[in-house]
Amino acid sequence: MSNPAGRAERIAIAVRPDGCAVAVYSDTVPFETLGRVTAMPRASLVEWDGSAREWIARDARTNEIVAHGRSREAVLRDEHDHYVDALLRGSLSSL
Amino acid sequence: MNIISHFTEISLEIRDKEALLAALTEMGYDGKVEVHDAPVVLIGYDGNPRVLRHDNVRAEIVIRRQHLWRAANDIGFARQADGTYTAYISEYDREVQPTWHTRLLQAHGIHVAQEQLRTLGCVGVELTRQEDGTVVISGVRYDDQAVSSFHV
Repeated sequence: MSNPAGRAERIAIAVRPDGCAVAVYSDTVPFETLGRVTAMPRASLVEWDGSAREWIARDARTNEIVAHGRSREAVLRDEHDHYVDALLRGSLSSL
Repeated sequence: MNIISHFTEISLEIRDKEALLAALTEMGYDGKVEVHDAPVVLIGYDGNPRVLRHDNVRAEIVIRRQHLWRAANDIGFARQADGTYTAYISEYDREVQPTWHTRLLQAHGIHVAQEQLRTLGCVGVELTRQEDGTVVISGVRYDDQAVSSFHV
């Protein structure tokens, strides 16, 4: 999808049948309109890897690399998309 | 510098009257919901007013017991000062219909999330239903200011 006006941010909110919701945090989304924010668990850690000379995003729970590259901005976007895709696949609806 | 992304976990609450009414319609109560400007008394299965801590239970949005299940009590949603709606569902009704309230919270939350994404100007807003009953509302927002991570 082209985006002549600027960057694109994918947003996904998983609304569960148990009365809770999960999303990847974004400053853009006013989550409080859905209810009471109960937790903000860490998703990943993005660090500069000096030996590989690139930015690496690792999953906070598994330490798996979820995104990497020379551009920090691109890694952040890929990392965000990784978790949005995981929400859509159903692998993250229960943290 | 480390950059950390986070998940957000939310305990769903009813805050949006229109979304609540839409959710109740989806659950089969179209034309069976009373909407009052001022709270009205809820009636119990025995025909008497429901009482909580010596006061009659009142709510602005009500489903009368004849529209619910056998031996049900009226269910009501009372608007609070902070804008949320408190659901008055008796202990008995929660026992015989244990998922009724959470299904309503989900249906309400889906409406609110869809409206949120539309308000943000998202395109391609869609719902994905998963096997466990979770519904994911997703879309794409185009903005020069789009930011999605904490920087610490």
